[in-house]
Amino acid sequence: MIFELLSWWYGPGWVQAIKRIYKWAHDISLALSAGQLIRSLFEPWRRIVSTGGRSLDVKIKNFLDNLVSRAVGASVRILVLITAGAAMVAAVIFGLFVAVVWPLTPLLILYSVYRGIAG
Amino acid sequence: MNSELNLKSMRARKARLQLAIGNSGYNGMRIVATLCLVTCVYCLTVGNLYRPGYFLLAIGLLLSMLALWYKYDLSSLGAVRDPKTIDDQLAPTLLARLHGQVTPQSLWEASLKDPAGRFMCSRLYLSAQPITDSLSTNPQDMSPIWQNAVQIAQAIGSPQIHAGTTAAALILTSRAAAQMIIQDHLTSDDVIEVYRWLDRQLGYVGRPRPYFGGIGRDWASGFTPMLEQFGQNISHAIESWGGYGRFAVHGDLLGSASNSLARGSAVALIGPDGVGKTELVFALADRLLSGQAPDLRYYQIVSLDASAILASSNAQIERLINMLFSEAIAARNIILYLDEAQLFFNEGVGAFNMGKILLPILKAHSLKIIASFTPKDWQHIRAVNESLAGSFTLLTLNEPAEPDTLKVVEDTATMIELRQRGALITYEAIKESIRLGGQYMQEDAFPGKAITLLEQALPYTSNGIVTHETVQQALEKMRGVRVSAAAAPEASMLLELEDRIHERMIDQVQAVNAVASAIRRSRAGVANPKRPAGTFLFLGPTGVGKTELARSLAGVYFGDEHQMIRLDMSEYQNPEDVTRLLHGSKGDDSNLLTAIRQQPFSVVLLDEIEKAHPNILNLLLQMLDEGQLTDEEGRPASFRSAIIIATSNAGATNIITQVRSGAPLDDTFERTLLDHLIGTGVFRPELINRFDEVVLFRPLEAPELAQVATLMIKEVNHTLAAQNISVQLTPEALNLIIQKGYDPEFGARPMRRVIQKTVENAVASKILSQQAQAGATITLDVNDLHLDTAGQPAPQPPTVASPGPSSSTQYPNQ
Repeated sequence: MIFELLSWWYGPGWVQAIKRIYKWAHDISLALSAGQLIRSLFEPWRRIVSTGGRSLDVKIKNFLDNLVSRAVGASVRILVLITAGAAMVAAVIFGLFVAVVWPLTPLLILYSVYRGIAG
Repeated sequence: MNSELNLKSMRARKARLQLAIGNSGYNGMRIVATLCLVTCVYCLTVGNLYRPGYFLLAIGLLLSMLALWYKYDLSSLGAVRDPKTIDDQLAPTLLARLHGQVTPQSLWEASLKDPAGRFMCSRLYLSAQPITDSLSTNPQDMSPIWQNAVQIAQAIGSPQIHAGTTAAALILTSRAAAQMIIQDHLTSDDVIEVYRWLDRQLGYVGRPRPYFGGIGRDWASGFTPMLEQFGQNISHAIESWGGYGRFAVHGDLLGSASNSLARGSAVALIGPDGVGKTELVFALADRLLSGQAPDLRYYQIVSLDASAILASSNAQIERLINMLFSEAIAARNIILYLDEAQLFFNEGVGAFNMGKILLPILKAHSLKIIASFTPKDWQHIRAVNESLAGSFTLLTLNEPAEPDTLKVVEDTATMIELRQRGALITYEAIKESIRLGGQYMQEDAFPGKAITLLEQALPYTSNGIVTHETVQQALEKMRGVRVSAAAAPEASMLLELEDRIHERMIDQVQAVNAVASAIRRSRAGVANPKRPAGTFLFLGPTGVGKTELARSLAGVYFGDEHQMIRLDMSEYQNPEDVTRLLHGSKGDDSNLLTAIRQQPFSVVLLDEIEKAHPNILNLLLQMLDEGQLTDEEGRPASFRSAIIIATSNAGATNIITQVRSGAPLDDTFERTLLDHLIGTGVFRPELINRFDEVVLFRPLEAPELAQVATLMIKEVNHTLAAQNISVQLTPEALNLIIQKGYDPEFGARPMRRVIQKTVENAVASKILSQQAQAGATITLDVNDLHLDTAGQPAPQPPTVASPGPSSSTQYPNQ
C-alpha cells in the first residue's frame, strides 16, 4: 500500500495538485461572477433607474439619478473584482506553494520522525 | 477481454482500502491531521517541545497524505480504459465486496449490499432469498454471468459493471427470479428496462453540479418583489435541485423554444393536459441556466400564479398585471410563464381579459413570454382574438411515444419517492399505470395521467410499496371502474352470476347465460380490452324482461341498479340528433359522453335501437368496435368498461309465432330472423355483426308470469319490512293478478301497475284502518283486490296451474 500511495503521490497526484491551482482560480472567478461583472461594469445597480418626464429639469434629474445608480453599480462591481483578483492571486500563490511542497512531503515526514527520535 | 477476475490487482486492493476507509474514515483523518499540525506548530514555536512537535508533524503530514490519496484517487477509481480482465471494469464499490472464490451466489449477496443491486431487486419486486437459494455455489459457473454483465453494460453504454449490472445478469440467470418475473407479468426486456432506469439515476446522481452563476450574476438585473409574491421562480427551483435531473420528454422542442424567445417572440405551448407543457418549461430553465442558450444566459423563468392574481377584484387585477409586467420588463432578465393561460384571457361578465394589456407588449417584443394552452383553449383564443394569437410562435406538444413515456414516469417515480419518504414505486406499478392510463383515462394525455395514477396510489399502500395492485385500486377509487383481477368473493359471484340474476328476473335462461358468459370473459381478462366488456342485441316482444335483465345486471354485477345509462333511441330519429346525443342540447349538459365519463362501469341501454337515425347507428358502430367515441374537441370517452345492450321489438311477431307453434328459438331460427330483419332494412348487417351476441327473448308463459308476480310481491314485502308487516296472496288472488297483469301486446309490463293498484292499495287501507299491526301478515283474497273479475276477457295465458290449498303462497319479508 505504501508503494501504491507513493506511486500516486509522485505521479498523478502531483500533476493533479498543479492542475488544481488553475481550478481554484477559475472557481473563484466563477463564484464571484468575474466575467459577468466586467461585462456589466457600468450597468445601473439592480436596474434602479429613473425614466419618464418631458421637461429638461426632469431629464437632467433622471440623468443624474441614473449616473449615481451606474456609479454605485460600478463601485460595488469593482470592489468585488478587486476581491476576486486578490483571492485568485492568493490561490495561485498557495497552489504554487503546494506544488513545490508536494514532492517534499514524504521526505519531510521522514525528517520529522528522525528529529523526533534524535531530539 | 476475458472473464477472469483478479482480486489481487492494484485496483482491487485500492477498492478494498477505499471501502475500509469510507467517508467517516476520511473525515476522521482530516480532523486528526489538522489537530496534529496545529499542536505541532504550538510545540515547535511556543512550547519548545521539539520531539513531540516533530512526531506530531510527521503524523499530521502522513494523515494529510492519506486523506488526499483517498479523496483524489481511491474514492474516484474509474474503469480501466483498455480492460483486460473483469476487475478492470468492475465498479470499486462492488469489487471491494468480492473475496476469495466468487460464485453466482456470493456475487448476488455482494450485489445486494450495494444500493444499485437493491434497486434492481426492489423495483422488480423480487424476494432476494429464493434467488440466493437458487443460485449456484460453483465458481466455474461465473463465466456466463460475467459475459452477461458485460453485454448488458455495453448495450446500455454503462462505463462500469456495477452491482446493478451484476444483479441484472444474475436475475436473468436465476430460475427463481424468472418465475417471479413471469408471475408479475414481466419479461427479460423489463429487467433490462429497469437497469436502464437505474443507469439514468446513477447518471443524475453522479453528474457534476452545473454552474448557474456566481454572486454577482443578477446585479445588472432589477429587483422583482411583486413577481416573487405572485409567481414561482422556476429557475430558482432548478438551481436548488442542482439541475433538472430527469428525462426531458420534449427535449427536441427546447431548441425551438429558446431560439424563439431569443428572437423576442412569445411562445405558446399547445398540448392536452398532462402532456408535459410545464415540464418543458422546467427543462428550458435548466438549459438557460447552464448556458446552453447563450443569448438567454442568466434569464429567469417566473411562472405567474393565476389563482393568486385573479383572486383580486377586476380593477385591482388590471393594476396588478400592469405592475407585474412593468417589473418583468424593467428587470430585463425575466421570462414570464403563464401556465393555463386561458385563465388570464377569459371573456365574459366579471372576467378579466389580459389580452388588451398583453397585445402591445407582445407586438413591441418588450417582454419574453411563454404561455401554455390546451388545444381547445387555443382554438378559443384564436377565434376571439386573432391578433393576440398571431403574436405567439406555436409549439405543439404531442403525446410522447411509449418508451419516452416510460422513462418520464420512471424518473418521476423516483422524485415522488423523495417527496414521500418511505415510499417505493415498483416497475410493475409504473407499467400498470401506463396500461391503465391508456385504457381508462383517455381524456388526459401521457405521461401526466400515468404520473397522476402513481401519486393517487400512494395512500393505498399498506407498507409504502406501490405495486400494480395498488395502482389498480387507486384507479378503481378514482374512476369507479373495476380493473383488478377478480378476487375470491368476486370470482364466486361471477361463477354464480346466472343464479343471482335469476333472483331478480324470471326465465330468459338463454339471454342470462349469454350475458353472464360475456362478463366472465371480461373479468377473466380473456376479452379484447379495446372493446366494451360486452355488447348485446336483445330481440323480443315487449314486457318479456329485456330492460329488466339490463337492470338486474347493473344491480348484481355493478352493485347498483342505477349504474345504468338508458337512452330511448326513438328520440334520436333525425340527423341533427347526433349532436344532441354526444354533446347534449342547449341548456342541458346531459349527454352520452358525459354520462359514460362519470359512470364508466355501467350498463348502457339503447332502447328501441331500430328507431334511431342511420347517422346515430354509424356512431354506435364506432362505439361497439373501438369501445370509444370522440367529442367535438377530440377527447375520447371510453365505453371499454361498459356493457352495451341494445333492445328492439323488431321481429317480435316472428318470435311469438315461432314459440306458439311449439318450435324452439334455435340458431336456425335466429339466422332466419336476422336475415329477415336485414332484408327488410330494419338493421344493417354491419351493425348486427358488431354485437358479441344477438339474444332472442321469448314471450313469457303462465308459470313465468306467476314467478314475475311473486317477485313483485316480494318487492312489496321488502318495502313493508320496515313496518314489520308482510303480505301474502291466496292462489285465487294471485291468478287474478296474473290475468289482469298480462297483456298480449305489452307482455308482463302492466303487472307492476296492477300490483300497485290492488295489493299496495289494499295493504295501505288495512294499515290505515289499523287492521294490520306490526308483526302481522296480511292475507289478501280476490275480494280484497277490488278487481273486476267478470267483465274483462281473460288474456293469454290466463291462469296458473293451480297450487294446492296447502301451498298457499307465503311471501315472507326479505
